[in-house]
Amino acid sequence: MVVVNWLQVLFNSAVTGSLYLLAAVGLTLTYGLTRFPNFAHAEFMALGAYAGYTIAEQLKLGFPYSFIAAFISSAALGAASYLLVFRPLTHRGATIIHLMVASIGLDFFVRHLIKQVWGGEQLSFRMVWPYFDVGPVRITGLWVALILSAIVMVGVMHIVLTRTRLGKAIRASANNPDLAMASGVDVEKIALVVWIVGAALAGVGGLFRAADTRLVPLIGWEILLPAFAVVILGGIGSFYGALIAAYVIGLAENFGVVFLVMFKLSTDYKFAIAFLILILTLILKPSGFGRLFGEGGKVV
Amino acid sequence: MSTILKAVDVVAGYGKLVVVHKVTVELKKNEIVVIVGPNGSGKSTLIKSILGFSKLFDGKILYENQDITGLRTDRLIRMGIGYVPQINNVFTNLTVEENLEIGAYPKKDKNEVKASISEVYDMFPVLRQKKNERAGNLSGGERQILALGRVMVLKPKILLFDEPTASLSPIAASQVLSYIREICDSGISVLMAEQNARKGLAVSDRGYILVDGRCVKEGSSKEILEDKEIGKLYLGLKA
Ligand SMILES: Nc1ncnc2c1ncn2[C@@H]1O[C@H](COP(=O)(O)OP(=O)(O)OP(=O)(O)O)[C@@H](O)[C@H]1O
Ligand SMILES: [Mg+2]
Repeated sequence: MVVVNWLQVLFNSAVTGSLYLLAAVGLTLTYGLTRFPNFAHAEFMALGAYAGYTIAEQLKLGFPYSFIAAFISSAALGAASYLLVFRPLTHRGATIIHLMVASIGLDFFVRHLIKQVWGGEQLSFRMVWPYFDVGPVRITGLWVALILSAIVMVGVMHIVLTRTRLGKAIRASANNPDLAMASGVDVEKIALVVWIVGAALAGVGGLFRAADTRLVPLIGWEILLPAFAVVILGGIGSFYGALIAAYVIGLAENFGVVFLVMFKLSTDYKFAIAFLILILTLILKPSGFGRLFGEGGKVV
Repeated sequence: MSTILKAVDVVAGYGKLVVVHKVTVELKKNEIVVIVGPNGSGKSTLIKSILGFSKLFDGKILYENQDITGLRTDRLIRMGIGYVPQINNVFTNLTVEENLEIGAYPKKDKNEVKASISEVYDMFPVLRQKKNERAGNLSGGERQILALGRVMVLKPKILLFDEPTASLSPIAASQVLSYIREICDSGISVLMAEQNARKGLAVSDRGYILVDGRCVKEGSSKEILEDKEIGKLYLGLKA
């Protein structure tokens, strides 16, 4: 009989959910504004992780600095991707398929650049995190930092989206880009801002994942599938939908692993859980949680 | 009266498809001009070509004696051109008030935005009542008024309105048209497209009849309404 520490599983779900949320927010928001699934998003996560590694482990500057480095380097990559690849393609009339394939190409390109710089070997963070126990739950400083980052991100995004001129323009542009233009909004400028912020958050997500596990060039792809599952379960383009979906998938994955162990199945199947949720959503309710937040689920 | 907007020899369409063939329309100050014609005749395409939402293959757009051909949409809006599209003309995920705030986007001063929204509420009281309602939940008539309000917050010099009465009840349609009359009387020139030829011509000063992307008749609205031949041939009007 396996003894399960359910509270620990619950806490781990919050950790996983926070990671997926940071990874998915940019993916869903850029979809809302540019209308294609960006596979190169995986490398926004990877670059953040590697940049953070260099700062923390090679330059020994400490985690806060590697956090900033992840944020900035991925933001820059996001801006470059939009300005140099996707915006010019859109101007030339590229369809969703063209853009999607281009994003896969960009992903390969960036991943190989990363390999050139950091090598293909597995790297790991040596940094030791303080830990403490709350009742039966073991908590590390890294996990606290991850959950706090997600909470702060949600708070800031919520205020920006509902209270500011920029945020309202983001929601309007995602809902109806032509009408936004016909209201005097420079929709491409708004899209650029969203690409930058979304990529930066993905970079931070990648860094947390790397610090928690290890660092390999495919690290972004490992998170990309669950991130897409979050986007789809949350309703494509919906920020609040993604918020709920990230934690739902976090719970499903962590409790799923417990059941895999109970039924003596390989825990490798845990990677299939997000995939299963993705497929089930598409079959049963393609709009995901999006409709909870109004017509068409476009409540970014 | 002086001309405020003139679209000259417009050839417009989508991709490689030409929909509008060499059509010229003119809007003078303080006028309401209507473009009528059957479904698919190119009314929307013509209006969209002025704003850059359809492809302008040939021709010129003049506004206040400037050539504005090919300028970016958001710049045209800032120059005083208001546009209400035929479909998807409100932000369904935003509240009524947020729709008006986006309408006022080019204004940066918060108090100025508030003041102009409050003026729009005075003009259209129903919007004040529903200011916190999500636009997607409004009735068809309320939506159309919101679409108009969104443009009016900027006090444009001209209003391009595509199908003000489309799919509205007769009462809601008359209400929207009487608003358009008021707007014109307040000094804003209006160019609109209308499928309902009789109603459209009744409130306007001049009209153009578009058939298969070509202008088959232009003149004063009264003259067009009284021409039984034209009415029967192109507009489905009974004598
Ligand atoms: N986005 C588009 N892409 C390709 N063709 C289009 C597009 N929009 C309209 N068309 C075509 O252009 C032609 C004219 O359409 P348009 O919308 O201008 O007509 P309309 O006179 O406004 O009709 P309605 O009275 O139904 O609004 C139609 O044949 C239509 O199929
Ligand atoms: Mg039309």
